Formats: sequence, C-alpha cells, structure tokens
Amino acid sequence: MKILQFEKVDNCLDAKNVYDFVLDSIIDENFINYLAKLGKLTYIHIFENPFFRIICRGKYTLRGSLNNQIVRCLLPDEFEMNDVEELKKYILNYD
Amino acid sequence: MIYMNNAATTFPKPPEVIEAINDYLTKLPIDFTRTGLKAKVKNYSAELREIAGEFFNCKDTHNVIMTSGSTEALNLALKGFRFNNCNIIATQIEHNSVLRPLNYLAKFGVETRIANADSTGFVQMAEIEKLIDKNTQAIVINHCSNVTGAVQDIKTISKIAKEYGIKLIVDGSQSAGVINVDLAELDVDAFAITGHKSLYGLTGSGMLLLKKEHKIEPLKHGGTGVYGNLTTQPEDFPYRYESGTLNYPGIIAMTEGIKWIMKVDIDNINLRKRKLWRLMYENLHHNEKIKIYFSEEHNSYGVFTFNIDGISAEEVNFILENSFRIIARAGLHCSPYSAMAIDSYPQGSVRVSPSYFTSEEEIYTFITAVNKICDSNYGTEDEDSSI
Repeated sequence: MKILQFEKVDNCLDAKNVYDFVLDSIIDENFINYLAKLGKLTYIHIFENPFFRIICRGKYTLRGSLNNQIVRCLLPDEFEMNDVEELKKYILNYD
Repeated sequence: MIYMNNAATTFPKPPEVIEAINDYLTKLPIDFTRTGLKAKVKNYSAELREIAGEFFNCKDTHNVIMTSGSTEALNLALKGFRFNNCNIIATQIEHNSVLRPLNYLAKFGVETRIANADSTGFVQMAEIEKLIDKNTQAIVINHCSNVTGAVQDIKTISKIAKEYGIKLIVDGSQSAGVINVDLAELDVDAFAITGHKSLYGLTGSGMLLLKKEHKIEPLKHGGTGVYGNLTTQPEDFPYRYESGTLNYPGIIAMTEGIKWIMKVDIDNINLRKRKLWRLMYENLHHNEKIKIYFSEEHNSYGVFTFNIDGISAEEVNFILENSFRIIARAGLHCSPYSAMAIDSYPQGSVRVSPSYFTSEEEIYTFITAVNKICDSNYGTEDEDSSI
C-alpha cells in the first residue's frame, strides 16, 4: 500500500496529536485484518461502510472505514515518533 | 455525499448566484469608477448596498461596508470605535471572531466581561445588565448561536444599551438569511454579516452594516480607485472603509443570494429548515443515548447539535463522513464558552446544518445513520479505548 499523504489533523479534539494516512487504494477487509495485527480490533459491520478501530495500547489508536482511503492515527500527548515511522513502514509493506 | 454543514458554508448555491458569477468572469473587467461607459457597466457594490439596505431594512439608517466576511466586519467595528480603558460585555455564545479581537483590545485597557448563557445557549438580559457599569462602552453579542441555534433577544438588549448609552455590536453570521433581520426594529450600532453562509454567496465576502451617525477608524488604508490625488485616506463613505480592489465576485454572489432569498421569501426558507429540524428531532429525541442541544423557545432551526453517549463527537463525525458519506461538523465550533454553557466541553458536539436545498430523503439517511451508530453499542469511553 502506498501512502499518498501523511498529514497532521489540527482540528480533532480526541487527541493532541492526530495524523491522517491518505492511501493510494481503498481499504478492504484484508487490509483491515492486516492492521488488526497491531492491536485490538473493533469492527462495526452494520454501517453502510463498516467502521474499524484498532487500539495499539500505549502507542496509538487507528480509525477508518471500509471502502475509504484514510486511516486516522490518534497518538497520546507524549509519543514516540519511532512508533509512527514503524506504522508507516508497516502500511507500506502491505501488498 | 450528503452535505449538511451549511452553517459553515452553504452548498449548493442557487443557480442565479452561479450564473451571475459566470457572467462577471466572462465580461470585460471595466471598473465602474474609471469608465465613461457607466450606462453599460454595473456598479456592483452600489447594487449590493441597495439590496442589502432593503433586505435588512436599514437603507436610511446604516451604511453598508464591504468586508472579507464577518470576522473582518467584527474587527472593523471592535477596533474602529477605538475603545480604550473601558469594559465591553460579550457573552458565552460568542465565536472566536469576537473573543480574539476582544482579547487583543486588552492592550488598550479594554476589559472583556462575559455574560453567561443558559444550557440552551440563550442569554437572559439580566445576565448582561448585571455586568454593566459606568465604564461599559459596548455590548457585543452573537445574534444566533452557531452551536445551539438560540436566537438572542436583540430588541430588548438594544433598548437597554440605549438606556445606558452604550454601543451594541451584533454578529449576524448565523442569522442573516436564516431569520428575518430588521435593523430598523433592532436598532443596533453595527451588524456583521458573512456572505458564504446563509446569504448563499462566496467565502471571503461580507458586510458591516454601520449606523450612519458613526464615523469609525478604518482597518485598512490604501487605493480606492478615486481621489487619486490624495495621499491620505478619503474621509467620505464608502472610501473611508474600502481600500484595495473589491471582491466583486463575492459582492455579486451576495447580491444575487439576497435577491434569491427575497424571491423565495425568508419565511419560506425558515419554514423549510424548521420542518427538516423537526424531522430530525422527532426521530431522534426519544433515543436515550442522544443528547440534543437546542432552545425550544428561541430556536433559529439553523443547526441541529447533538452528542451520542459513550462516543466522542469527533468519532461520530468521522463515522458519519466515512461510513455514511454525510458531511457534518464536530468540535467546539470556534465557540469554546458555548460548549461550556451547554456542558459539552471539552469534547464538543456534532453539528448538522441542512439548507433549504436539503431533501427529506437526505434527512432520513442521516437519522438512520445516527440510529445505527447508537445501535452499534460500542463506545470510545470503554476501558480498552484509551490510547
């Protein structure tokens, strides 16, 4: 999976540090299952485009929806940029 | 996509607005002030001043000053009156477009006093009056809350302001084009308007309706297209306040937007919004997981603001957009004290704002989406959700 854009979201109140990964392909179930290996998955299938949340305790929370191209990453106030870089690599390694 | 963020910017625009802008962009850009072809070239700003004067019933009482939006209009009023060593009363429902200029004025000895709003976003006159003293020089208030839609009683506030001899500045960002605004009746000193919301115009356009008796300091100085021999700012209206080439596409869009509202009739527009608002309310207020923030008595019906128990406003908004293709808005809506008044601070709330053009089918799609989010029975506040 390629990352088209990686940008800070300044207007999200859920966390001080929020980033969006804009992907080059739409998110499918395989990709969600791939991300789910990083933490605890909550998957809400009853929505028009199912929603997922993956909590990687102590590191970050990921949000996204099936058939979209954005993964939102919410980080704690104090975070390691290395965790974000590892996540980037993890996404890039998906094929 | 279903667009329901019209309190931020209206979409779609009436066809008349689009046609007029297109017409402007495809015509020779001859400036009215510099041509002998006056009979053939429209004076766009004069036309807007005429239309706005009629629409807000202030032809004889107020000057119409072109601005880049409400923020500039409010800055012009708040800074132009040269308030110093005094206090100004604002309220909990103010937008940052008022709060930030007021905080800037602190360097001139201006103290800001904040009058409390109730939990519906309505400000009782007593809350304002108890803050007035001999050093109070102005009251500044948001006509319609952009968070709860509560419409303030400007007529009464105006009466009190006159009794105390203090100026009244009103932020009309969420009332202009939403409810009938009659400045002859409201009798305010300055009324700030934006073009891109319910006047169906463009971003970067607005007006300040300033009582003709006031001559305030301009925010900007510069070229006016006339009085080329003067190296100081012209004193006469409108040149005193309008420097630089005006935003003609924005002016034209506002003119056509207002004409369209007058044609459809603002009461019909409000009736339509009221119907859509009621549809949402009747279908969602029984749900115990949903908290709706509104004023029963003073509702503009411009916004429908809510939270879902156990799920953050940001996450609800993310789901609406990404899982249901509905554009709404989450957060504090640039009005942090409003969130405190309605007890949604610090997480904020989700705001949905349909327009005259929103269909009932779209409203039902939204209702179904919200009910599904509630039925999904998960929350961000469970023990495993922390990051």
